[in-house]
Order: sequence, then structure tokens, then C-alpha cells
Amino acid sequence: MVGMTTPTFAETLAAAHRGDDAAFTVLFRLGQPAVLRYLSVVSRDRAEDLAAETWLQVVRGLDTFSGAEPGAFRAWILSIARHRWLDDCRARGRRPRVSAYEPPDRPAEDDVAAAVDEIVTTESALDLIAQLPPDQAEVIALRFIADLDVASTAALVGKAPGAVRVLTHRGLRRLETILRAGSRADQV
Amino acid sequence: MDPLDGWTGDMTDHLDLDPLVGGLLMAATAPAEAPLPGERAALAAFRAVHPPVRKLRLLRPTANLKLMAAALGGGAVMVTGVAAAATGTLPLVGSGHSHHSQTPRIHPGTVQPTHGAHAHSPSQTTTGNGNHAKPADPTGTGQGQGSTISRLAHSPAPTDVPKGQTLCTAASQAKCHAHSQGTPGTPGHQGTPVKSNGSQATTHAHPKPTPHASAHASAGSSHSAGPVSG
Repeated sequence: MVGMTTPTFAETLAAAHRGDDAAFTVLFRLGQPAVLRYLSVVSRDRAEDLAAETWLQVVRGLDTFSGAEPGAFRAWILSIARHRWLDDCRARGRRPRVSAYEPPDRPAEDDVAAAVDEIVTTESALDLIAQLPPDQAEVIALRFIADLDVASTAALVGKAPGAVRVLTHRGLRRLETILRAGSRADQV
Repeated sequence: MDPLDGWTGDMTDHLDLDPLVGGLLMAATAPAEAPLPGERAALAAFRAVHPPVRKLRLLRPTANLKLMAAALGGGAVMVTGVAAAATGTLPLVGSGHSHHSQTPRIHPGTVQPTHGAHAHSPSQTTTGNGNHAKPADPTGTGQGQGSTISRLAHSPAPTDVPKGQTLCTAASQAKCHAHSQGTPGTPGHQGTPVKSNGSQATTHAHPKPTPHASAHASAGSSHSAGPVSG
């Protein structure tokens, strides 16, 4: 840490490469929320275990990472998390979860304020996103929770950027539908 | 793509979020509260993989100076000692009692000079085969009787006279009776010391000459193979 100025990401990463605990803690706090929330969306009950496995692999491979921006670091650890999740799915002999959500027949009323007020916790918001189809939920999580751009998200999930945009749009529309349906149900 | 889901082909990243969805995403991305789950485990794993680098403790400048001064002092002492030893002028040891490196080597069985060969005072401790000799005379003229006997001992044995007898005679200043010992009818017998009158030197010689004549001469004491302390 140099003087009174906030260290840059590159300086923090270099310090972590030298074995600085504090620098690694900074990197952990930079990446762990996104990793944990992403895994909460794609793998509900195994999120913390998979996050722990992810960070074990991050620690082992930290010397190989040489990105200069926090976004690149987030993308890197999220790619590790995604592979952990897919390996876990294969090990447990099951396919990734398929959403049982069915869109409502008609849009809900525009009284959405109550519905928004009910979404007061991060966990409830993640629960709602997890109700989307897996590919849409994953893209929404990566784009808005992990704050990755389209290119990074496309590279991560192995899709074209256009496909990522389409999935993002559909996911957002479906979330809107869910929210309005919930709002209407509450009113009834 | 299903054209009914509202996708218009806009490939930009700018999304007009519905307020409901915007609120949802804001809640999903709310700042996490420390401590984050798994932080301790991750830090432990990090420490296991990246052990803390121990910084090399550099010596302080004062320590460096002290170390350098000690090294210089030690070096000066060593050089001075070597130089003094090389010139033979060691200040305390060399005064009046220096061992000459060219002192003739005397075998234990050879004759010890009776007079003048020992530079030690009677109070000094000598060994039975002590080969201390007076410092060599630079002129080469005053070698003394010890040197004479030494040369005689190292010279080839004469053909007609036994070497031991010759040495005994020379060492005792013609007072040795080795030539008469071991023969029938003579007083004394083999191995018996014979004291000469007026002299404390005791000599005994083998009746049969040997290549190394064992004529022992010791001034001021009886013959003894062990250390003699005065």
C-alpha cells in the first residue's frame, strides 16, 4: 500500500502475488459477493460449498492471473465458479435446474409499488431471479449481479454476444411479468 | 428467437428497465455485509498456498560499520602476526631463546651432548630425547662438542673401530670405558653404568656396536629415558 492513496487493482493484485494477506482480502471482498450470488442463482442449495471450492482454485491459480482491471478479475473467478458448478452437477448426476415457472396469461396491474417494497432482501431478489429459465437466470446474474459486460458474459457462458443480449432481454421481461403477477396476487 | 417476447433486434446494452425489475436488481446487488461467508477459509487457503514472504533483515548501517571495523582489526592482527613470525622477531618469545630451524636432528638413540649442547637452565624441564640445541653460531666456528658428536653419529661407521665406542669416547671426553665392557675379566658387566670420576655424566654402551649407538649422556643427572625435571 503506497502512501495515503488507495492502491490500484494492479497494485493490490501484485501484493497478493507476494503473499500479502490484506491484499488477498481485498480481492476476496471484491469477488466473493458476485460469486456467491451467482452460485445462489444457478445452484441454490450448494452455493456456499461451491464458493469455497471456487476460492480454493482461485488461490491456487492466483499467480497465473495477470488482469489489470477488477472486471477481468471478476470474470476470471466467475468462470472458475461456473466450472465448479458444472462439475458439481456432473458429479451429482443431475442436470442443471429447469425453472418450473409458467408466465401468466395476462399482465398484472400496474400497482407495483407494493411488490417492490416486498423485495427488501438480497435473498428474496435472488430467489426471484432463480425462478427464470436457467440460461436466462445465469445471464441475468452475470450481467447485473456480477456486473459483467456482454462480451465477458458471452465468453463465460460460451454463447455469442447477440444470444446473450436476447437472453438478457427475455429474462428481464419475464422478471417483470413475475413481479406484476405477484403484485396482482397480493392485491387479490 | 421468439418474436413475441418483445425482442426488437436492438443489440445495444442500454436497457430500459421496468421500475419493478430495477428495484429487484438493486436488491440483488446490494452491498454485502462483512464478514463475507467463507472469508476465513479462503484466507487460510491463501496462507497455505502463499506462505508469507520473510523479508531479508538488512543490517543497519551501524552494524555494517561495526562488522567492517572488526574485520579490519582482525585482519591487521593476523597480518602483523604472520609478518612477525616470518621475520623471527616475535616480541616476547624470541628474546634470547629461539629455536633454530636448522638444528641437527638427533635420534633418540644418539648421543646427547654433555656440555654446551643444552641451552636450557637446569631448572627447565627437558625430555628424554630432547633435541634442544644451542642456537647455531652464525660463524660456524663454535658449534661445540654436541655438533661434533652429532656429525660423528651421522657419519659412516669406521671399519675398524665400533661407532658406538667412538661416540662414547667422544661424548665422555675420553672417560668412557665402553671399549673395555663386555669383555671377560673386566669389572662391571653389560648394561651396568659406570660412573666416571669427577663427572656426573653416566654412559653405558652396548658391547656390540649397533648402527645407532645408544650412548646416553645427561649432564647433572643419572640416565633416564623419561622427563627429567630439575
